[in-house]
Amino acid sequence: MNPSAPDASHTRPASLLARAPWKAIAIIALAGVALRGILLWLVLPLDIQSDEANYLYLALVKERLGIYLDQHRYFWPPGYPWLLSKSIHAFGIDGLNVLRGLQVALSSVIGVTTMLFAWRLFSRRAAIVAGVLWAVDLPLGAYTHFLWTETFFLSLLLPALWHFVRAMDRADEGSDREATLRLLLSGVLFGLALYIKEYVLFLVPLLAVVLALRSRSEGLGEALRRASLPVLAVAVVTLPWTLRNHEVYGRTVIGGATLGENVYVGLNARSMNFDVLPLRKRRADLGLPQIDTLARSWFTEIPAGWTPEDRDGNGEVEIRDAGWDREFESIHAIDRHSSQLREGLAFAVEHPAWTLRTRLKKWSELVTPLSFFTRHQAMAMYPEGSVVAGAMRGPLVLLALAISTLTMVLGAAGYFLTLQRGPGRAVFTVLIGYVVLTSLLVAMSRFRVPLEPILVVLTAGWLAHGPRERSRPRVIGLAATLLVLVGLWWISWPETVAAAQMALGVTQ
Amino acid sequence: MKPRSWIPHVALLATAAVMVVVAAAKHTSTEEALRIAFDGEASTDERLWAAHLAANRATTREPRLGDALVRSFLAADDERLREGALTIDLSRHAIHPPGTRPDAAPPLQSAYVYAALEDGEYTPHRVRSRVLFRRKVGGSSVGGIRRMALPEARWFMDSLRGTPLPPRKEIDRYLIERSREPVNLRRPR
Repeated sequence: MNPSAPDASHTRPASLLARAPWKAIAIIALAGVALRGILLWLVLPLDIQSDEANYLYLALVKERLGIYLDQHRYFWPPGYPWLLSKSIHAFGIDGLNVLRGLQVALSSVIGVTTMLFAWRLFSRRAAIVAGVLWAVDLPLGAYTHFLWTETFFLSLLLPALWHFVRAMDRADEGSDREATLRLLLSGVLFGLALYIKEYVLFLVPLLAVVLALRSRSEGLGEALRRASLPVLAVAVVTLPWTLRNHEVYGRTVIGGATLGENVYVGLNARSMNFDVLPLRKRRADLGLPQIDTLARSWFTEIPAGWTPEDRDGNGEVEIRDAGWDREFESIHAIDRHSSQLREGLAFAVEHPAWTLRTRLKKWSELVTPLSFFTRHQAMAMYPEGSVVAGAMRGPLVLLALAISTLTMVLGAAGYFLTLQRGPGRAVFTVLIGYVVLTSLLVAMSRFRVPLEPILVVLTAGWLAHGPRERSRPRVIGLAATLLVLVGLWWISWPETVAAAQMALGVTQ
Repeated sequence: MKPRSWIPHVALLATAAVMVVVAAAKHTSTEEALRIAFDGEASTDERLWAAHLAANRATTREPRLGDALVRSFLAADDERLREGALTIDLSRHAIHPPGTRPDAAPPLQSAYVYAALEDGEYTPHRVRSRVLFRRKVGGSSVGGIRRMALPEARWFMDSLRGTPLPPRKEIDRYLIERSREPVNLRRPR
């Protein structure tokens, strides 16, 4: 195959495609892992913050008492604290860095899958471009040295999606045996991903619907057989945890339980932007105005007609006093969900204009060019004197901002004008829609992470081949998307600039 | 495997059925869990697990757990059992005296964690108790105020491995500095 020519994989059976360019993929994956390894070496010793501390607390309790606790306001799936507990059991507190090293190695799975998607959907050249983009994707790569779940989660989610797409390919070609095995494997990987984050709980049924619809020409029985397999596999893989929860709580909990608290945070008077909220302490130390005072208030202000009173009795009248409080009657997080969901939805329905304005703000926070790498820089989390916090700080922050921005813009172009119809497009569409819709509740740059490898793939497709589809609906779709994207950036522009300045160190 | 086979579905359902049967066979009733949690003859692991079950199955505050079991655990010789009384499981069942603020910390656990140091030094158990009680997630009503930081995690692991802890002055200085962090600058996730 001519590497520079766009292939027509949407019209050709996938089995007829040339073998994946494994040599190039392996070299680029190794290079990406090496870059992440160097970055890890440069940023150590690294302190913990936010959820990192909570994961570690759970791991310490597991190590000492042998039980997995909930987090009072949340009930997270146990996978990541379990991995942490194993690591600190074997290596003591150095186990944190061992796990970071493991994440660096595991990121190769993300890189390889990203390149495979680009190869499958576009071409060999696109795969190489995708690999290079992934290798220098700092917002994504930085998660390898954070003690957040993202690297483990993506290294399960992406292969699950890959096998799902390949299963649809093989089914289209009539290779039922391989399609069945890949659907089974995909379900197992989705199930394992649920042990890390319960995020995919509703994604798998949606994908199953897509699979059933694409298989409808084979008859209802076959469509049902295919679509039910990954769902069933997920159910079986997660069943030990579900049964454990039933034994411990006497109630059924699949995966985890975070909805109630997310509703409290996301459908309430106080606007919380988690890319900038942690900067409060540092801004206070630096004598800078708090970022929330810079925000465009129309998108964050409390619902009209609400006069905050000191509802929580802490002696201060705060924005949060205008909203609704957590449910205190139920002592367990898993029992608070339904009532908090009711409260949140009632609050939203009661204030429709506020709900609309603040949902735009959520989407704005989803597509922010900021990332947890820039957040770490802005918080001065990286060790003083290290090159990452010193000479390379500016270039690295600019690289992170540029990659986030470019992959969103060029990824949109790739989606509308380069990506052609087929299983890959169907799965990407479902995933993009899922991330966008779930971010209506709570959003931040971290919630965009499941999309980042996909955006890299689409960007690579665009860079490698430019426009291949110029139909009117697609051009209009791209224009509308870019317009919305720019509008959403404008909404959070003041906070983005302030946070970026802190990350660059130009406010000191 | 034949094309378009339902065998994988059947195998998955059979696996699920086996898991459900095994789980049902290993089930511990709440009454039994309560009995084991209070049983001084039971092993520490058995008592901790039984308390975990009883505390999480109860849907409202249960005085037997928040008071009697906490006292029983805190009076035990085994340090792990005493530390088990400080986690969220039993802290959320705390019984507060009338007139106490609703977000007040669990009184029995607070008294234990802040009791005067024996011999003037932090023992490994005292350090672990402090971390377990004060750095849990969930807010003051369960005793946790601020998230854990790396030095505390290091001390916790050192205490388990028998590595000497820093002198009292250093630990006190650290804890005082942490307690001075403004509460309204809440650490986000």
